Amino acid sequence: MITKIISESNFVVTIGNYGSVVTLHNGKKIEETIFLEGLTEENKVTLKKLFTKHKSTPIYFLLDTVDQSYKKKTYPFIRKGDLIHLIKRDIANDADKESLKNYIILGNGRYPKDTPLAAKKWEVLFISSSSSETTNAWLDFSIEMPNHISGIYMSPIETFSLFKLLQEDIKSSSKIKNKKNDLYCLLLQNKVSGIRQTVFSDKGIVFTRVVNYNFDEPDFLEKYEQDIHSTFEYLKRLFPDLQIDELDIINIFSSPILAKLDKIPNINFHFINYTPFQAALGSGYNNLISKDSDFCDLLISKIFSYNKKKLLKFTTPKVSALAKLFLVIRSSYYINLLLLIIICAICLFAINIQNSIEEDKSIAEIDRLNASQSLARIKNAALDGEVFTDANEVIDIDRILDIGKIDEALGSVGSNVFDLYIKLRFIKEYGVKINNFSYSLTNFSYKAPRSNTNYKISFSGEISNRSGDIEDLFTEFDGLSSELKKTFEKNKVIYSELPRNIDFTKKYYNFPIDFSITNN
Amino acid sequence: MKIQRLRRNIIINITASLALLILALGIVFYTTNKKDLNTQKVNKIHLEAVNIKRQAQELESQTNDARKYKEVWKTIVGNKKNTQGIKMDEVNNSLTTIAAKYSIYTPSLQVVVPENLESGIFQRKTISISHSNGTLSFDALSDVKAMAFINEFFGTLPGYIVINSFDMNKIHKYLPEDFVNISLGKNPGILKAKVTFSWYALHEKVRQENPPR
Repeated sequence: MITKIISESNFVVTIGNYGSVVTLHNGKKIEETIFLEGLTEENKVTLKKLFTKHKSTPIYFLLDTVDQSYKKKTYPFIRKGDLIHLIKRDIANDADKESLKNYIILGNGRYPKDTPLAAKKWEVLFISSSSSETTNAWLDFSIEMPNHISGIYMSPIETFSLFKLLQEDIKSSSKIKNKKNDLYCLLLQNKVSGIRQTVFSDKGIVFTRVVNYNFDEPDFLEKYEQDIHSTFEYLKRLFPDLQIDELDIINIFSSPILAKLDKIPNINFHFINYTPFQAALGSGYNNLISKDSDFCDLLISKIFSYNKKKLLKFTTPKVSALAKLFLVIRSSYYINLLLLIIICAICLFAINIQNSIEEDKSIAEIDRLNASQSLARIKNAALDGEVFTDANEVIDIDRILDIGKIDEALGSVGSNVFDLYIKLRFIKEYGVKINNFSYSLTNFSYKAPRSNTNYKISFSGEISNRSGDIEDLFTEFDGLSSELKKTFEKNKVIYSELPRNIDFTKKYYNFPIDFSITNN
Repeated sequence: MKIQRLRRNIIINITASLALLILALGIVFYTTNKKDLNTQKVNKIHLEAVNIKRQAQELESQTNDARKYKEVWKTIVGNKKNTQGIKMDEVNNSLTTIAAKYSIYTPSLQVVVPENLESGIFQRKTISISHSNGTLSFDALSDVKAMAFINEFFGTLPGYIVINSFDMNKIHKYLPEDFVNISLGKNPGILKAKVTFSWYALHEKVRQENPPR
């Protein structure tokens, strides 16, 4: 299947009025050439063997018959899509249904901006080839072959590829300067069809006809000259300002014929001469034909075969139907190839994912193993002969944890009342008698005890000046409040000041005091 | 004949296409399935590793806790570790004895029905904790005696005591008849004290089914 897709080989069957040439091309090489004067039963057997041997090689037909018609028709300057529609309708309306027909739109429809619409037009070259007995025989025979018929082409049209390959050399060899009409008249000799005269412009074929000469006849040069003149007259109708001396005439003939042509004294004829061998060299095919070859069949066939972009394809209903089937087959080959590639890609992707997952798995397993080993080490370390006893009794570690955590939560809550009361001992030194003392927890929740529970202490009583000096009363009160603040420096101490309306006639005074201490 | 051959080839090719398509889909399905299964396996192993690590961390934390609480254990007095619950007869005996020791008059202890605590810090492996609110009220001759009484009495109670509030009021100054009353063993009614407290009693876990009353 892949061989079929990438193979560059093909058969080109050049059919002319004097016979046919079957060539098996492979890239730039010609593998096999068979010249047949007619498609006899004997020849069919030979061809069947050849075609069957290379059944995956497509067949191209290159018609070089006399009965080819090239008619130029002018259409109004309408949209290109409409033009094509019009052309197809004209072809369909043609009474001759058997002929091979197609068309070439000459020019690209671009005119300078200031061109009036009336001056704009489409020129279309209609090409038809009568359905000859030889051509039909070849088509009927090849349809039964296993090979794919890639299409039917006209040799004069496809010879444009040869002209393009030689064009640079032709232009450099041309003696004509400042051509108004870039036209070239190519004359060459084929074994299957004789001598053909074809006129090319830079864009493609303009005109063609078969002009057969007997080179041995004495009036050959005269006939040649007449044919050039008659061609010029025809071209004059297409290109009114054409002068004969601006037409490059390219001859591809054998050396003796070229020598004869050189004897033509007409100074208006500008010849550029090649032998078939020289033309092959100029086209880049060095070893294609022999130096003394008279004909260009193989060169045209080769160039046509190697050229990826064929110029104009013709077809018949049968060939079209077969082409559709081949297209389906080829598409299915491509689809299968694509599917195979997709399967390979999926497999590679799957292998990659599998490897990645295996890697992840092994990493995870190592991680688990390390964790297990770490756990085992910790267990060993935790249980390594550590037994706790209290009063010769072995204490369960869970019991130690339970009691320890309870003690941590409850051990220090609400037990500091005694310490706090002891801390307040100093107040007696300031002549204070306590009547009330209270202690309370401010934010204690028995369901969720916290070790940092806040408390509030309040005490009230009397302060007196034991010395009988009024000043001492204030001094002691100030000393008391100052020491309370110092002792409970991180707490909030609130108290009421001594009254200022004191009866100074008295010696001893008792004043009530009220202190509260809050920790936050 | 050629057309028949081409049609046959087309059928073969389309069949091959379908077979390849089915194969491709099969591989995709198999790969996806296998990937999911393997990913699940890997995730399971990861999860196991995480669990083991967590266990290790817990064990390490427990070990550290055990070391820490072993030291704490040594500092906890015996009655706090008592897991026998509250035995009111013993408590009342203790109250009477200690009150007499510190010349405490009319000691009164009221304890409400305990409530089992089972959440938060109280959710323990080997012990269960019950909570009761208690009120202790009494008359004393001095604040020092009152404080010493409370301190010693609460020191004898099993479990943990949290003093919620403590109020001490001097009713009046000492009068000459007060001294007479004291010498006669009568309550002079000088100092009244009232303590409200939370009493956390510990019980062996097995006894949780029959909580102490």
